[in-house]
Amino acid sequence: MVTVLKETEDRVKALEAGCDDFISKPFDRHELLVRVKSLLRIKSLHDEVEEARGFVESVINTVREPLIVLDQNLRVVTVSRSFYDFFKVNPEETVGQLIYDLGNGQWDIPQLRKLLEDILPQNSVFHDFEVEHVFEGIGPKIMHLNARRIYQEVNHSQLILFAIEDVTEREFYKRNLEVIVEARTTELVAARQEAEKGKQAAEAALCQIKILKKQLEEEKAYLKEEIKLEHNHENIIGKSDALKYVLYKVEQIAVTNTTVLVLGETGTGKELVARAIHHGSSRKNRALVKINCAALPATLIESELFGHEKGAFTGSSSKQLGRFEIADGATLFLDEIGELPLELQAKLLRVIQDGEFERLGSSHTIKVDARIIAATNRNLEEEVKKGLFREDLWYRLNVFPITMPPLRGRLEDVPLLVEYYVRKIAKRLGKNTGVVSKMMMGTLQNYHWPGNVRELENVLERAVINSSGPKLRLVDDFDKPLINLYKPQKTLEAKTLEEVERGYIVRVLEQNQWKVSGENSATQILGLNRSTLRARMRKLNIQKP
Amino acid sequence: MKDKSVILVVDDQPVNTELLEAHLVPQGYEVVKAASGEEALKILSGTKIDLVLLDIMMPRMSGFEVLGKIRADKKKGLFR
Repeated sequence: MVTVLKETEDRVKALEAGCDDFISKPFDRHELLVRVKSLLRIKSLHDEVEEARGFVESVINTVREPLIVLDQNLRVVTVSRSFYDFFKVNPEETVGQLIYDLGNGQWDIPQLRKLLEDILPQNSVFHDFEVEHVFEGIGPKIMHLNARRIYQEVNHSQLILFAIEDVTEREFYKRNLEVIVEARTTELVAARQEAEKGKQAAEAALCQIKILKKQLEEEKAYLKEEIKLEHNHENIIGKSDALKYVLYKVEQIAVTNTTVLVLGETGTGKELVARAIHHGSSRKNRALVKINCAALPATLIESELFGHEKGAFTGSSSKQLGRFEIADGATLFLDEIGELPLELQAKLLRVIQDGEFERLGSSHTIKVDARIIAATNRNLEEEVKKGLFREDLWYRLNVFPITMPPLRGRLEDVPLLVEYYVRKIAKRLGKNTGVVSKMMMGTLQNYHWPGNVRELENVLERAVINSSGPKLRLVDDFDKPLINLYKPQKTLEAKTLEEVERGYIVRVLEQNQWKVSGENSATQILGLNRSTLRARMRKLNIQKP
Repeated sequence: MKDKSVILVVDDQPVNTELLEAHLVPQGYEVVKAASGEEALKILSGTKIDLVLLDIMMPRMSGFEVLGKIRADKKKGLFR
């Protein structure tokens, strides 16, 4: 602007009033044009600056993030419109203010001071400086500040531009997410632990099931065999006092876990007693596992009793559980215990004492809880004396002996037994036999029954087979006993010792073609030397025919 | 080229405004004339003016007064 002046004094006044230049009248044309030209140039430059500023401002205002420009004294040069909106401040209380004084000193944040005073002087650019602050009126905010120093090259004054990114929601979400993730992780870990526990429990249960299944299979296999054997009935028939006493003792001992020794002659029903004890015990739901010690050779009995590992001996192609393992929790019936070889008696003693043993071919000790019922028709006390049965085992077994009376000791039970067996056998054979004459019963009752009830059963079976009508016909002749083992032997022929000796030597010589000495000769068999044999032959008048 | 620069010439004496116009127009400037301060302010409020040549000694409203008014107005907008 050129103010046209006449007086010099007005020049100062004019400049003070804000005019840019002046020219005095009368105008010098040249001066006028030069001044006009230069003023217009200034104006044009000024316009450009303004235009640039307008551009910058519109850019700043277009950006959604709040922007703030500070001068080197940290005073606000300009802020974007979004800044006003976001922080709810007025332009009047913003531009020209020290940043810390903004919003009643709310911007005096230690983190911000650190950024502006410590970090930024070292770095011309700094990104994502996180500032968390609670602002009055707008609440807690988490901001990421992206600051940049801008040099104005002309006078090296600097501006600081920083953009404020409001990450409150994002951060809250992220933090919330972290919390959620943590919670979920905890849940998952717990769930996994639970699952692991469940799995372990299931595995343990499965293991248990496998053991039980194996046990059941063995038991089943055993029972199948047992059925094949067509064992006797559970019932013990009879009403004699002798039998009642046995039943009383059975009842007395059944509920305990005590080892029982059942004694009695062959065929008296020792196994029935064992079964009665088992069925009267708490183990009755499990099988009565039976082994006959007389039926198998020693080595087989051992493997039968204690089981064996695969490859324990020649031919043991698979692992096998022993009867003791099968009878774990049940009852083991050791029949014919008197026939158990001495070497196995020791092993048996250990099981009875400690419930412990090892399978053949295994060093692993197995513990079992099996109730033992042993039976024998031998006089074990005698066997002990003869050294054929271990004394300690006998004491162990003989805790509670029950003696089954022989049938001849309870002949009053014969009619009941006859009736029972005839009906049973007739039914099995599909016959209607059932009438037993009084005379026949008398005959049966007068017999001494060395084979006891088993003998009676066999006699009756033969009789039923032989009977065509309802009337029972006996086959056997009871005048001549079937088994004369218990009858006195026939009287020996009266012979002198010499006669016997002579007869024997002759027989031996005949067998060896009268060969007196050398290999396979009579001297070898007779245990005599040659001259002695010849002397005896001479004395007894033995000559080769 | 951009438009001609517009110069407002303010003087109560037509001789002066005409003289200035005579000097400036041949140089390629556009000249707008005002005979008083009031008229000058009126023109300024409605026209885009790049430069004002203002006479101090004018009746009713002096050049200083006009200058003051323009400067007060300047905050709102452009340099004049």
